[in-house]
Amino acid sequence: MLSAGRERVRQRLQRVPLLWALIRRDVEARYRGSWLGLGWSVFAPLTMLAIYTLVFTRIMRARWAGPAGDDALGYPLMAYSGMIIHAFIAEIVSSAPMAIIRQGNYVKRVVFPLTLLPVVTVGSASLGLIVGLILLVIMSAGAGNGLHATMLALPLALLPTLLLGLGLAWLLSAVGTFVRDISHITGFAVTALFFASPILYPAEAVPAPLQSVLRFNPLAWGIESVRCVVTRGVLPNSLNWFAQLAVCLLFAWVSLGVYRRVQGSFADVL
Amino acid sequence: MCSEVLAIEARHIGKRFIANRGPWRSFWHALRGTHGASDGGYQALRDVTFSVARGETVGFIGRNGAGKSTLLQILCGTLRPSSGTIHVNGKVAALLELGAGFNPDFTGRENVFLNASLLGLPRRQIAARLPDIQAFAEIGEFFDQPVRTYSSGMFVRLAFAVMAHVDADILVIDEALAVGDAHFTQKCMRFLHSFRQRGTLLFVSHDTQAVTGLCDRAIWLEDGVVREEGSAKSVCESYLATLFGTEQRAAASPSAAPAKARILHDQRQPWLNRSPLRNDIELFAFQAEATRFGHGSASIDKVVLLDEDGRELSWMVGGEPVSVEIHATCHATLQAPIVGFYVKDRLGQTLFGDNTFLTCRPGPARHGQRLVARFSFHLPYLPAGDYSLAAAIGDGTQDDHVQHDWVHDALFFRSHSTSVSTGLVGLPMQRISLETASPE
Repeated sequence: MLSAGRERVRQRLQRVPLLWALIRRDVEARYRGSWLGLGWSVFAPLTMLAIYTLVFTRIMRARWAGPAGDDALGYPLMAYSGMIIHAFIAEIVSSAPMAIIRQGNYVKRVVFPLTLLPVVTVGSASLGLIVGLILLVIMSAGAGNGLHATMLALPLALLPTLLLGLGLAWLLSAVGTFVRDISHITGFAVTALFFASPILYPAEAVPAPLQSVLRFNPLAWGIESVRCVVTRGVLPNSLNWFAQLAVCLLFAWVSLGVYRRVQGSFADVL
Repeated sequence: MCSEVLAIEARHIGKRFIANRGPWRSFWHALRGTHGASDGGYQALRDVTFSVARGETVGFIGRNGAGKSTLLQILCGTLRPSSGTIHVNGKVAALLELGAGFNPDFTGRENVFLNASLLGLPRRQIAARLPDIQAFAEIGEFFDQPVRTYSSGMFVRLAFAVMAHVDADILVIDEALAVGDAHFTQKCMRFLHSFRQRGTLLFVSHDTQAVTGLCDRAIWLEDGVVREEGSAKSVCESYLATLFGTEQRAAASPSAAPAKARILHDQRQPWLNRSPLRNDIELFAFQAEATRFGHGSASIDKVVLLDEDGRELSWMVGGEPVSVEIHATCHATLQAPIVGFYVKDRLGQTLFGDNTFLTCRPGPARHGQRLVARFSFHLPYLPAGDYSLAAAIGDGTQDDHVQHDWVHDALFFRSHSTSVSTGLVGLPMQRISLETASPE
């Protein structure tokens, strides 16, 4: 019994290099043939960040209505931390429904550990997240907030968001392979999510009746955590964090279960 | 347990494809695990039961759409049967259709890594085998080009090369081999013949010659059920009997009888040579870089085919007199040199051949001496297809000798059209007659 469990763990570990290779290939494929290559993954968000900063501070002269929004860079800093999280989830949501269909070869022609395909989607979306977070940390430090020790807790603070992404990837690619409509829905769902999450406005600015609804937006959890840890230098409320972790873990687990059940039928519908 | 000696055990396998069920419904069925269980749709396989012992070579034959590929996909684990159970013991490597799991945007090298790691090879081991794989595939600089730029032949070369180097226990080969050229097919056949010594091989084809040449046992699928199972030879025979039986009925016009049947007299040759039935055979140049092995005390420099007047041939005609000339050089003293050749068809089956042992024994040959062996014969009629000629020089007797140089595919030739009516080759007949015998 014990040795069987150990064998399973060993098999899982054997897949780590494969997963890593697949993620690398996925990222490479995106930039293959371009002159700047991987540089785009830094250049693009950097340019966007510059544009946001310019627009929010010089043109709109927006003031952050919540705490820690007094300095000049307050608004772009807050907005950008929300955008990073949104972009991460948005990329997963929009590419997961097609993740299996695009890799039809792996489903039909080779015996492939199919559970990995959605994980690859999350993995390559994480690249954008990591680059975005690094830029955010640099900008926050440059804006006079300094470097906080709490920044080290960033990976832990984002653990629920990461699990949320995994769960979405498994669930959406499982359903999306059968129901092609999903990829059409996700297109505008992503935009709706942008305005339904406290990205351009602080959660506190939302009117009281809507605020209780917003509390159930899992995107808001990750956004709040990043703002706490990077700009304010405080750790997220641990009770909230545990609750969020539990919810996201459950969601990822259920999604994986659904995915596992239907993956055997992928070859029939592709 | 008894299943340990079995490589594959399939029991009552059924597969149903559901066409055009609503997307949400098919998702719901998949979730409940009832995908394909409802009625309607297309039943590709029905109650297929068989087992394959470890080390066995089994051929699957059947017409297009008989369910061969579906069954193989189930064996490989890429498709789930709608009913029945299947147990597979060991690592399966498959060459199903073209482009087995290749990512078109990545180079051959990257795809080798990807495919081999899918088959469970650690990265270090793949890196160690990469030169072998590259050499086997023989696709030159294309190895580092994106796979989407490949020709279908290159695709198969690479896929086969990977498959040959991953230590699979069970190999599944689909028709794909037909895409390769003669040189590569020969190489694959050599590999398959040697693989049979250590592993289980499943071979799918509607080419019954290939199946009988390679397999111990054959399973004939028709309309998704096992029609017959047994020795490769007997199954292929009854398959062909049924196939031609049905096809003859389909084209049952009396005027279709071939014209040549009427003109069976002693001198077919001049007539045949003027008709489209002439056995035209195209010869390709000596393959100096063909795969070879041997101890190296002698080497084969050149192999040519000559006509009666000693002119080197680029085209030849079945039934005409020809000579095979093998030129060799000794690099050490050979006590009793023996030179031979044989001709193989595209599946690597030896058709005919001979050596100098029985007729010529010139005595020892010294270092630096050149030898020319000449075999003159009437070329048999060859069925359309690719052929290769292997040449070898050794030292010793027919039964006990040392191979000094053995060139696998020294020459290639291709038969374009033929008058062969039956058999692996057709012999130039001395005389054919049909007379009414007086009753005794």
